[in-house]
Amino acid sequence: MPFSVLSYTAANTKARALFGKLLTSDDYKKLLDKKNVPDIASYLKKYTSYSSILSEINENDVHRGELEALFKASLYNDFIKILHFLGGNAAKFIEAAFLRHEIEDLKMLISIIYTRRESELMKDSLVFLKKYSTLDYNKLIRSRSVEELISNLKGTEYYKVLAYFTGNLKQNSLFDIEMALDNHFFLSVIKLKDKLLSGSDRKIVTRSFGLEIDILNIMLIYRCKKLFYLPKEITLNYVIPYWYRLKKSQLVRLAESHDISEFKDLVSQTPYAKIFKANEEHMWETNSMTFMYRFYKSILREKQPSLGVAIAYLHLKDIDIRNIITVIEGVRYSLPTEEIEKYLIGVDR
Amino acid sequence: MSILKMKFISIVGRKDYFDEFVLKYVVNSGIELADALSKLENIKGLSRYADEEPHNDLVKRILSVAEFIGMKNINTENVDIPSQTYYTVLQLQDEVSLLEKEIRSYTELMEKYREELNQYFHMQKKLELLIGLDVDLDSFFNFEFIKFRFGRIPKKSYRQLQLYIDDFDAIVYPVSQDQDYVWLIYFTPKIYSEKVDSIFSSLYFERVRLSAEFKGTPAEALKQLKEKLSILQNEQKNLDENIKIFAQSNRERVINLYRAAIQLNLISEIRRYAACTKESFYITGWIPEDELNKLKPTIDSDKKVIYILEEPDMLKNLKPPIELKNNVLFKPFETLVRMYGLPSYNEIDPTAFVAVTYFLMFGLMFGDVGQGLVLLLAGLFLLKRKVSLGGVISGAGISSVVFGFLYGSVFGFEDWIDALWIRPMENINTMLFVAVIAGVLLITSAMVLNMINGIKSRNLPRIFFDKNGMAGFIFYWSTVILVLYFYKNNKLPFSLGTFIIILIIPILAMFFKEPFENYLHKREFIPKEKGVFFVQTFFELFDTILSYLSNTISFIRLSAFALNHAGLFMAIMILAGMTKGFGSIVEIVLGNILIIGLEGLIVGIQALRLEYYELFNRFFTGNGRAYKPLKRRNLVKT
Repeated sequence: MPFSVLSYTAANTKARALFGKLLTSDDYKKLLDKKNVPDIASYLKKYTSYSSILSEINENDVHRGELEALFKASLYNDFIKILHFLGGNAAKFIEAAFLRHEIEDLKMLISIIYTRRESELMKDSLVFLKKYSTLDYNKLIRSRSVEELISNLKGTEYYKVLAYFTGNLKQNSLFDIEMALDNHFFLSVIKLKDKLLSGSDRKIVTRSFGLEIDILNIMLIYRCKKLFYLPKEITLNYVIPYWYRLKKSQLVRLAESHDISEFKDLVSQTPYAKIFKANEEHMWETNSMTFMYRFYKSILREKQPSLGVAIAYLHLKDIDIRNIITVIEGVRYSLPTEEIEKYLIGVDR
Repeated sequence: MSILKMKFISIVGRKDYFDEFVLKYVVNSGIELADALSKLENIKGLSRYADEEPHNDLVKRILSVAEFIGMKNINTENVDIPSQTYYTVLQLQDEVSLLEKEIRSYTELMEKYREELNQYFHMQKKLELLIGLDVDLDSFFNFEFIKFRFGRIPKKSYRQLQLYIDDFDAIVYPVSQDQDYVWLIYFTPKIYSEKVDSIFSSLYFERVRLSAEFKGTPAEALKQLKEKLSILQNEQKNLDENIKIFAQSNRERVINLYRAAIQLNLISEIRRYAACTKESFYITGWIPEDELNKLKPTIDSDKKVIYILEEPDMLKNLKPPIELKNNVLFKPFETLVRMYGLPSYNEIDPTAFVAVTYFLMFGLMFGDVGQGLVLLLAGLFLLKRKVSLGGVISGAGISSVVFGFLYGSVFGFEDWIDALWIRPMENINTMLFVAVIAGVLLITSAMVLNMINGIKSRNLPRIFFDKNGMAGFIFYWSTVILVLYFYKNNKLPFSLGTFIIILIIPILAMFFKEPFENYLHKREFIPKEKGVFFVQTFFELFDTILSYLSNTISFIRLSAFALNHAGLFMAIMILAGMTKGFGSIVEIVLGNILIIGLEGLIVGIQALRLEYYELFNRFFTGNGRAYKPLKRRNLVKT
């Protein structure tokens, strides 16, 4: 592909330019000083690249769902911008990888229907499903039960994944469904990357998704063990059957561990020891996000133009948005600044 | 030869007649719609039609129905259909829904059969494994101490199973695979069966019970299964027959529906240009005169509408679209004009000029009877394949043949026929001279065209003061005569006074072109700062005078390429001379192919470059707008 370097140069330039518009540590410091949500909104509106998407809102009368929808729209716009610079297989792959957001929304919708916690507010945040997905949002949202929702998914790739649950819904099926969807997403991305990409592109994508899957699997095993005391076989049935820097044997041993301390010992021998420091379980999620954040930043610093840059940017933007939401939540519930700061990803403290 | 004359038509009619009228007359007419509201903005009470979405979803649905009944290219299906039945949107939607319902029932059945066949296939595989057993199936699955299960799990689950299969309390035996599933048997001691079954259920194991369907030993069961299979296959055949019949009987209906939907789309598209009051509609647009003559009798006899025609030059701020009209010979060369841009409405259509000049220039540079014939054939082949450049290439080929006879060259051989005019390689100076003379003539004709365009657009400065107008013409020709005279007689033809008058006056005219224009448009005589104006205009003039020279010399390439052409072939002949017999023939053939491909391309581009840069630039703005009538629109917008 002689054009690949050319096309990536354009896409990368675009991605780097967009990256320069994300919030800085300094921005976050200023945000943390704000006393309420309207102040935060007005700061974002005045001083950051989010000003254009926030231009329509009235900062004195804004709620979280509305903001989140706008942020998602902005992420989607960036995705489209980058897509325009890519062509052929690279574009196909990025589109498939971006389906992550569709799946997140789908999981959310299923849990809304499953738990019968109908609320407009929650439905508001299903932006991708509503606006950008090829799925028929109106049909899905009208589903009265999970079974009905599954049958409304007929003709899509998700139907195959969920068809089994029709008539097999049990107490803990919500967890099973979410796991099945995640599993489906990661496995199809892994399959696609080998089909569509080659050379350095494939390498960097393999690395990006490999790290993510490893970390997800460790967290998942931990949850299965700690919350549900599941035997190893059942635990392993939830795992995404793919391993990158984690060895298969390590994965199995983690699933076999009899108690939490044994689990922590085993984890400390994996390449991911740094994330799962024994004494701060509540920080594991934040740590893993930070780990990925550093990885994406390192891709952005590389000289070699590749698809990785585009993917890394989209993740970083996602993290940026997540941080803003974290700040908004923290300020709303009047948490102390240091406490909120702990949960921000990639902000120099 | 010309640009089509356009008229501006405004049609008024009763609002409830809009759809019928549009479908009857407007949709397939030569009208290019213009926005009615901006044309009639001074009329009170006029408004746009309320926003109406085109029915693209409907078109899409009909297309997928069409695909099901095997009409992939419905828009090109030329079926003589009985006259249109006119549908409303609701009728259309109902009809399409009915068809879709039927199709859904077919596809569900198809799906069901496929699923069942698949299942039987895997059962068969399994039974073939057990064929040696002389045990009743019923008892086989109900052993006291060992539990047997047969069924399928998704491939993904199979991979998860591999993680702990080594120390698992069950023996798993994969039987077969399909696209998404692995079919397997597992057996496990009864004491573990509950645990193992629950693990399998978390692997999405779907059990298939053989004993429910079949009785007896595996061999007997296999026989029963084969019977069932053949019944199923028969049912499938019937279904296929039914689908065929369904497709046959609905072909016309679907085509009709499709056309109706497309028409609805057209109406809503036309509505976007139309305007309306409470009781009437207004459509405005451009129409060429011959199209108008076709439309006239029908509209004239239609009592429900009235129309007004206006001439383009009566309309201040609306520019008519441009449609070139040329005879068969010149038509191909419209491609070259379009690549540059279309003329304005009151300019000359340069197609004929391009055709003649391109023909001459290409031939001069690439004259060879044999190679020309090859180009001609290639061009004709491309024309057949509907490639727009095909015509130009054939023209170039013909001109190459003509000049081939003049130069006496066939496939590069200069000794097969006599030259009717000149052999380029032997008369290099003559060739160069001819080329420059050709250049002078071409540049002059471009200037003449520019003046004609000036007259047509009643633009005085363009006629007299422009560097491609009268001023430039006089200056250029006096210089040419001067140079020629000096070359022949070694002295100036006229005294200094005459010289000044003849050369300086045009220069002054060019110098004052801008002020003169300003004067005409009642603007300030010299608008910018005086100094800036003088310096800038002075240098522009300097550039103009230089470019007369360089543009003329530029035409030397006409003969340079003719020499080049002969020279290249000499090199090939020398190469061919080094080898003996068959090898040299191969080399000559290859050399010819190289020359036709490479040189043909270069010469084609050079001629185009001269055309655009030295000639078009002088008389042609190229900012016309292409005429896009309704009837030429791509009907399928999905």
